[in-house]
Amino acid sequence: MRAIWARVRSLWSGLRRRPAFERDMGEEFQVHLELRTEDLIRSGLTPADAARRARVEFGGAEGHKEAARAARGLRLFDELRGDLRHAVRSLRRTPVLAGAAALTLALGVGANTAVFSLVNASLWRPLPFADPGQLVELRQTHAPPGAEARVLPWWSYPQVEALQTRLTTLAHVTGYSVGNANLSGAGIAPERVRLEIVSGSYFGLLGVPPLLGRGFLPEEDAGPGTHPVMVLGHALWVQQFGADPALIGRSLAVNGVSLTVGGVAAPGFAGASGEASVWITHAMAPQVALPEYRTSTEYFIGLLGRLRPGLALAEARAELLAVGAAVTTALRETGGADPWPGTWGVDLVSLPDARRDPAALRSQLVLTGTTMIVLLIAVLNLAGLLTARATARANETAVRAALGAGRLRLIRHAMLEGGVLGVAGGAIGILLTIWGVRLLTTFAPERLGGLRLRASTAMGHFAEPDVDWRVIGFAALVSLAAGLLAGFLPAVLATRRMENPLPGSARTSAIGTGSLRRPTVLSTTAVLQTACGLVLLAGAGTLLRELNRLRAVDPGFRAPGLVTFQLSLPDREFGAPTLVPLVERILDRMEAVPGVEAATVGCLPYRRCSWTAVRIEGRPATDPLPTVGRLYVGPDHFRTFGIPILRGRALTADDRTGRPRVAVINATAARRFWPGEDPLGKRVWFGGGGGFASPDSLTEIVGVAGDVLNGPPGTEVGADFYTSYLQYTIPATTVTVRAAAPLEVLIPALRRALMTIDPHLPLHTVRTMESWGREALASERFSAAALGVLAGLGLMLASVGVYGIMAYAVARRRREIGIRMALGMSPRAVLRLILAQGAALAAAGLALGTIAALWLSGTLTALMAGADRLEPQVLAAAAAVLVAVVLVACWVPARAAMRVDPVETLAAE
Amino acid sequence: MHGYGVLLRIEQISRGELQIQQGALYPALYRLEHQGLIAGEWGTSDNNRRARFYLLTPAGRRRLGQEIAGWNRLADAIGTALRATPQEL
Repeated sequence: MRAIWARVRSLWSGLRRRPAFERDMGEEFQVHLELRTEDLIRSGLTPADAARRARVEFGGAEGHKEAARAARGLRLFDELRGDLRHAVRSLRRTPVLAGAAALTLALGVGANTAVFSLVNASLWRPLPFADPGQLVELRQTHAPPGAEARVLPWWSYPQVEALQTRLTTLAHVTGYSVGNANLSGAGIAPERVRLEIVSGSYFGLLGVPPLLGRGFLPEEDAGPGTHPVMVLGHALWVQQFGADPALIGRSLAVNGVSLTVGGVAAPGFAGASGEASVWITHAMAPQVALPEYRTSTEYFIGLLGRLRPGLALAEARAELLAVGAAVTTALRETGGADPWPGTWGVDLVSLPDARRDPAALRSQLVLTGTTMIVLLIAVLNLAGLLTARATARANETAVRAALGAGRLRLIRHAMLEGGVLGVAGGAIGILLTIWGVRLLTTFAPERLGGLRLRASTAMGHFAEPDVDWRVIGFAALVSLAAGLLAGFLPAVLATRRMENPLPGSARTSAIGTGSLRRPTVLSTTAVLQTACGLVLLAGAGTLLRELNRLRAVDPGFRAPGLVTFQLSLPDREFGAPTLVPLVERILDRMEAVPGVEAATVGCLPYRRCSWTAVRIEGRPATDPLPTVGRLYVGPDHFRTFGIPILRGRALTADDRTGRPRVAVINATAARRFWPGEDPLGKRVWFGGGGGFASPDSLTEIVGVAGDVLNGPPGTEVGADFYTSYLQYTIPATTVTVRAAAPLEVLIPALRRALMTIDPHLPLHTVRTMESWGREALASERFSAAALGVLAGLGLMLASVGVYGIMAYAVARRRREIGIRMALGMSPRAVLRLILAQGAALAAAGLALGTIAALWLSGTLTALMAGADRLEPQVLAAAAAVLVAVVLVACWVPARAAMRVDPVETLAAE
Repeated sequence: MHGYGVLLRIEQISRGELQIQQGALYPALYRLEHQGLIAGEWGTSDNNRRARFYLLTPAGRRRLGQEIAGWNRLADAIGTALRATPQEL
């Protein structure tokens, strides 16, 4: 071990003080010669003879110096430096070629690195808290009957309180919830901010102390209404208050409640949710946010913990499993009907792990694989290019070999050219990556292929892709490896026939496209490139076809002409009895606006907003009870959406509190629960728990409506039960309006209508139903677009590669073509010959590509669930495109071949 | 001692039997220095020249012992083999 260290030290000092080393060595040799000369003079020789004899005895000084340098390990560096300079020089002599090669590699590397940044964000980038490995996320799991368990990283406040006192393996347990609030006071204009409501131990747990003042203390979220303190976000403090340190101690109003500013958060700190700019404690929540915040059994609070030092995650987990289940179930059952039937559980995961989603990872892997194929095409391109150069320089290589360069040295020299191109390509590639990542962040949907691309956790924000050192390191590594790899093969081949160093005409033999029985390196790279191109095209085509199929799925309602928006009802009044009449008045006012045909509230298609358990009268209760989708809608719902009523009637304005309870079901529900029977007149109970005993809570089915998509297109429609909000007093805040008027006229009219009811009631998030439909397919559209872009890129690279190889082959075969033409071959025949060779290449590429595409056909399901087969039409279309591209790429070289003048080539002999 | 001195010494001790190409001494010296077995220092020679002087390091001393032992073992083994009489075989 010490020996290695000594060598390293010696090498390092030699490299560092190289000029001095060389001087010293020269001086040492010089002294030796002088001493020897003196001794020889003393023994009787003349000074001239002595000097000459001394030099002869010494031997060749330069040779000894070389050996000395080798002994110090410096020779390798010298050789590499020389080779590098030579490689750069020779590349600079052909700048267009070198530029094209570097660009080719840059495109391949750029695409790869952009996708890698996604993977990096999900897997490796550390969270911006102190010692994030010790942080854990507590979550519930819920499995609806007959379905898979889903993670629910939210709890209710009573559960949070109970867990905080019971769990001993965690040093801190802190809850946090997120919402919007109005910030005003101290002379600033009211601003809508993102609010986090947290426990007192929050700042201590995350370990990011505030910049000014202090965070919260554990006792500050105890009694409701006590400690009216808030913490302000850094960006807000700078922008709105001019970074005034005197702000500490002054009062600001959040949602109208006066709070003292206790501290300013550290710069860049945005809380556990990644988007907060104001923090208050749970103590102030009932006043600021929701009156029933501390008693509600709804789940909306995220829960984080920090492990006690020395304790393992497994211990904390065991404790949570033992204690948590009992505590939280007890709390769940208070409060009557359970809107979430099914099996519940608890879980605890390390926070960095919480960010990782295996399903999302699969889709990222498929994307990565696709970009790898593009990179492969680029590498093959480059390899072909370098092969051509190597063969052109065969004579030079032979001379160097004859002069004593070992095979390894020659290979290393050739690989360096590839390496230089790789580095240049990588540098450009990093620029492309930065641009590509920005593209991704803008367009990448939250879910990819029906699976979450950004992790399924309260902390999804930290999975945003960004270019950090890991990404750049990856780009550098990949580009260097690609360049070296591309240089390796030609290098090995160029030095293959070392035993015959100076062949007479190394020119025409191994180049060209060879034949099927004797494939050359160049033709192999061309074939592989076309094969890769086919795989990419087939993949893109499959996704495109599936996307079109999904787009054509009938959603069950008429989307054109529908506009949706959200009502911003004051949070504090949510659930109050005044809300129902308010919503009714709003809907009436909406329908009175000119151009509006109908209006309704309720959950939008393409999703499910709530579920309920259902029990059918006259049938025994099954365990577990079936779960169905539940929609609370306005009386004009079916008319607004254009949903056909297949049997019976729709809901009306008469179906309200005090009248018999009614519901309309969708066709799937009718098929599922009453196959072969007429569901009209049948009665059901909703909900679990005690509601079943009373006959008053029976609901009668009065109509069957057509199925409406309640998930993304391509998923099966589930059973839905529609009830009127007028009867069940749970109005939603999403309003949908069918109108013939254009948007620019309609929206202001709706706003004005709303203001006549309440001037402080804004509407926001105005979208057309068609845009919601597009968003439902956002991930599918993204996948198809991504693969389309990559396929286009790959095809472009492959076509350039094929063109280059054919052009080169034709150029090398000029003599042969000239001779053939002199012997009577017509130009057209030459054209056909070249094109035929191109076609042969394409055919081989197609065959190989088809096998590969079939083999890989199942992998696309990670991106789009329905894209599981490679259909013959898609393959045929891809093949046709590929053949066309290859033939076009061969066209120009073929025409050049046609124009070869036999007289000229023969005269050059 | 310096490089030239080492050369003279080797010639002296081996009574002229071992004569190495003089320049080839230096790569060998440099290699030993690279491995940390000898250490070189600049100093002044007897006739006032700036020369490089080499010393054995502790590691070098250890290695020297190992090499000597190895050489002796080899010499013994070969000697034994050569002295073997037909009866002993």
